[in-house]
Amino acid sequence: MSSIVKLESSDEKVFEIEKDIACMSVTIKNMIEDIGESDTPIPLPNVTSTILEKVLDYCKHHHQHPSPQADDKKDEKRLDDIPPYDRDFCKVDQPTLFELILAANYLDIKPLLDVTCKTVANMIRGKTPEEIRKIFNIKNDFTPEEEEQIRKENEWCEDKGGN
Amino acid sequence: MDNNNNSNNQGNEFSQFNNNRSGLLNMDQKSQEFPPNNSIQQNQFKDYNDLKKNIYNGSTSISSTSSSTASSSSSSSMSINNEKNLNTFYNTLNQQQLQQKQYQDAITNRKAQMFRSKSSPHVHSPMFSPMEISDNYHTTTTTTTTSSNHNNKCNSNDNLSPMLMSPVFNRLYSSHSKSTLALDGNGLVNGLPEEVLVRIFKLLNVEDLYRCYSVCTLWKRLCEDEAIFRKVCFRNYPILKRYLRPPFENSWRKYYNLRKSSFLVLGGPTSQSTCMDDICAKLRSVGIGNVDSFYAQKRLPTLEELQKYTSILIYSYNSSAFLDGQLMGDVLSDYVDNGGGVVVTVFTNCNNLRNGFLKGRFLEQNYHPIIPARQHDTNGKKPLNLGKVHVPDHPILHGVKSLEGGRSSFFCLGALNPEAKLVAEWSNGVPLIADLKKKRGRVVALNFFPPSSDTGDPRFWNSNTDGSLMMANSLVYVGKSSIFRKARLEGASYVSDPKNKESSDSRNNSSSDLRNGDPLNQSGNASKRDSKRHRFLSGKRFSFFKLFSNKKNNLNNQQQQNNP
Repeated sequence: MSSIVKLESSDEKVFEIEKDIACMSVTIKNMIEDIGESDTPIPLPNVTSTILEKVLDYCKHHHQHPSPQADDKKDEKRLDDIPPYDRDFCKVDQPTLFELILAANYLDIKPLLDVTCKTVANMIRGKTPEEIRKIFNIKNDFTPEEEEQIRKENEWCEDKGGN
Repeated sequence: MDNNNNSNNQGNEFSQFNNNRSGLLNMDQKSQEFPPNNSIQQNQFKDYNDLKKNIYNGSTSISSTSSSTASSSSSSSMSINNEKNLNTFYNTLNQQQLQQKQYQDAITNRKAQMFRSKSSPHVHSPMFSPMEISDNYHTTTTTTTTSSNHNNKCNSNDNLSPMLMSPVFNRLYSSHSKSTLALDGNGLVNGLPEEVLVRIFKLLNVEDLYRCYSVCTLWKRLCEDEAIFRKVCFRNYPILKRYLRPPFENSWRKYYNLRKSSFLVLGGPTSQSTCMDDICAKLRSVGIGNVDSFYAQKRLPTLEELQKYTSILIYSYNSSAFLDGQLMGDVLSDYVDNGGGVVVTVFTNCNNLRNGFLKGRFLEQNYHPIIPARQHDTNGKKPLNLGKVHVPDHPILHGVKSLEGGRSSFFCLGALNPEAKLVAEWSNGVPLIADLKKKRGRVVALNFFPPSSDTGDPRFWNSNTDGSLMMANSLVYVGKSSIFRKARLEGASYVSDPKNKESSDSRNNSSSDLRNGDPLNQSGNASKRDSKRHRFLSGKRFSFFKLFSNKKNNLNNQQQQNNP
């Protein structure tokens, strides 16, 4: 039985969690290594309690069900190989998804960052620029000349089998 | 002007009042000197260290909005002898209340810029809490707005700049109504750190990348990232993983684009340069501008050399076409495994040719879409024609109406590889076009001999029919290139574009110089091109080749009579 670590979210809620699970985050792991075992909660000023709760759920699930090929490096990154739990996990609205990405980036949890990035990439895939702008509410900040220029200079190539 | 001076005074006194904040106020003055726009606002907080200093120094003395108003009132009392000044101060106080919402937006924007400028996860050390940060933002924004009206405009302009998701932002954002989010010019996705966006783009294939490229300026910049293109190259052509730097070009993006528009005709023997020239000329005539030729009789190309090309058309004239059929087959199958495209034609799939036939791994592991067999011809009787078409909308058949095999209509009487897809047949029922996907690459078999009747040999396919288009389509198809689509977009053919031709020619030259083991290799093509560019040099070389190749021709004429 591993020891318990306390984590404090930005809105000052304290979560108690097993050290092994908390150490899935490289950031937390390093912090624990640096400060040693202590009773004071580790402050995570960049993560709110709602997001931290979700992240910890993810960590717990993957701690209990380690994915079969967690470590061996897959040669190719495929977008459609998201396991069912992760797919459901990422079925959230955009702000939450982006907060998850930020949290995963900050806490340095690679599998979570991978799966959330894949989710965003899947949202982009196969869409026209106009559709992408609509999905993410991005403003088209090109001038008409620039737009024409881009259309002309595109040396990019069709690459359907690229994945 | 007066107003500006006042506010400057205020600013100066304010800085006396609190020396620690002088850096920030200097920034404010700058923003008055220049027309207010987003970039200045961004400059203000671009340097994160400045900001941090402010937070550490300022937070002790000024910790909330109320205390900052107190401090500004004391600053105004110092300049109270000026009545105008007092008025401006009250005005700004009113504005302050009215535009509280704008301040809040400004805070979120500042946060956004701060997160943007430093996106590393370790920027926010757990040493100070976000509460402190947001409080300081309150104070800084109030000082900027009291000092100048311009800055109010800045703030409202700032609403267009990207917003950000962060815990702090989120708290502010959740206190607002959701509609403020929709009103903002840019979506939340642009608030993500750039490295995360690049990470997302790395997961996309090139077609999607191109679409992302034209979404907005930030995405355009990020999509040009070398890391993304290195990834794309590695994914498509795994052999490149052992390269530290991109081959042939100095950036992965350039290399990728060059490769996607470069093609190679591989064949032999050297003596039959009319065949090679005819194939290349035919390909150029239908829009493949950048096509190189390589004679494999004296030296086989290495896998590394072939990485320059997106696809290869290979043919052989007789048994001495390749230095070694076994090794040639090995190299080509490696090339296919690493994402290359190969078009095999007669007689490389005719197993009666000793070294003109692709053996080795290419044969053993079934890379031939049409299983090799003995060569056949129509013996001068009725020529073969394009027969039954199995996949009418196949890209290889785009624009192809007819094909007449010529007096001999050489073909290989082989069966279809069970893994391959039959696209079209000859009129006698023998497979004509077969398409085979193999690992990362693709192989297409064209069951005719590529040189046309324009070589002066009526036994070859009739140059009035669409054989050249079929070859070009196959090369583009197996190489996953988009040059045809691009040409259609631009509305101009590659051949008629002099600038383009020049550049492709120079590429050809440099590449042929690079790997020209045997001077005869490029004699036909190179001399023609050289005469355009270096007349003096080419004249010399040309006569030299002539001498040399005449000798060779005599020698080879005897061989030729035996084969085919």
